[in-house]
Amino acid sequence: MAGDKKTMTLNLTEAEMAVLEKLSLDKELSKTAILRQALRLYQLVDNRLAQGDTLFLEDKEKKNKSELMVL
Amino acid sequence: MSDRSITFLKDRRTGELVEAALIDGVSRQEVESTESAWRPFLMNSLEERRRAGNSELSPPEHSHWDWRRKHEAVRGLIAYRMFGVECDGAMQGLMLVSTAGHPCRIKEQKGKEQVYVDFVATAPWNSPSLVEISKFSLVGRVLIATAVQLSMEEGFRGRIGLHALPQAETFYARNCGMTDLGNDKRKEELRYFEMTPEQAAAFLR
Amino acid sequence: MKFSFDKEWLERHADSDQNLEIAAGSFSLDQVPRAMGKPVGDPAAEPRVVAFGRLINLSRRKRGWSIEDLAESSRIDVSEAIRIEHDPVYIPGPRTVYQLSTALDLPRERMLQLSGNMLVRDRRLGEQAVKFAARSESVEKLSRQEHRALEEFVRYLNESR
Repeated sequence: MAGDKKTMTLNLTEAEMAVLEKLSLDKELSKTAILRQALRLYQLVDNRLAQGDTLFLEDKEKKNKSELMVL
Repeated sequence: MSDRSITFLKDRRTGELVEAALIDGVSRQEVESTESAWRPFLMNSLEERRRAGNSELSPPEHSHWDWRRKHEAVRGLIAYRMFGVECDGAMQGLMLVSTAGHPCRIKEQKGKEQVYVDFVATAPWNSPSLVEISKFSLVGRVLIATAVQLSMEEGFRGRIGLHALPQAETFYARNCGMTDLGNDKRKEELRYFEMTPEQAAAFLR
Repeated sequence: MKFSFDKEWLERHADSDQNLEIAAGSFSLDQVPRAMGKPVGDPAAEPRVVAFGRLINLSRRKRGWSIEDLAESSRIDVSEAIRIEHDPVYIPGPRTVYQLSTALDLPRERMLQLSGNMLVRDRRLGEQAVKFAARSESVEKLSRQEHRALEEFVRYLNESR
């Protein structure tokens, strides 16, 4: 399971491609690796949301919590 | 589903290195049999010491962990990987890592991705705080080397991070050469350690 | 994925790794997380926390240690050590409690309960804590009364349940 890899072709807009390229540069990861990280995180978040949890972000000074997503 | 690689542990009785298996992808069954072996040993040791009135050795700080629950909690989530070290017919150590969601904190690598060690433990009979002489040593080193190699494979250049239990701080600071970022108020005040690519290379040398 | 391990590398480091704990992750599962220094809302918890600070104070003085000695042995900040002994509502974090327990040779789980970090499963703990807090006072040398109070309380904490 860990070894077998499948290939896929992606169609992205210019803006999406630009984001992918910038993240790839900033994180020093290949574009494939960035998308892999995105998938892992998305699944984690989705898993918690499906359990009924809410995703919050807390600002630096810990003064305000704002809701990121609602399901 | 699961991969095995050859590794070695040190048998403390004979002083010899013996062959062991590093399991990538510990199964539910393997975790069940690990718990059935570790828990009774732990309970017996604690009971024995209590009866003997021996308070010199203190119980491992993680004795309440339940690896079955951890395994269940991360089932199907691709960000998590569970590893085990098997030797002499029993699991000698377990480790759960995340490959996403824990960006680096050290200034020079802030925001970069790393492999984060959610949990790592050696079997109770290998734990210096529980028994006078451990059965096997090198379990920790093998598992950390695994995390570092995984990090390299992922393109994270060997970066790893973890929160050490107090008794283990020396191992991570000195033996693994990781950077100590101090007590983390958001994680039970446990000391947070992180490894840079340079430290990872030095560790594996 | 396949992993590789150099046998010679492992052999070389075996001795220095010996006798070291390696666990990382979190403390016991049944711990109730508390924010650092948050005032105790539950009035029933207060005598326990007072007893905790008093216990630390007497145990330290019994050894003839200054607060600096205690801070050094437990690898905590001096300012925190002072707060623990003198602030009746201050709840130190779990790591600090563990370090203090080790330095003063006191039973860790009980200390976590006393300090307000863990759920208390034994109601007697509260009673004994109140008794102990009442009998101990803050003077330089341990009085005979304080000595006796400390010994009895520590004996109780170490009792098998």
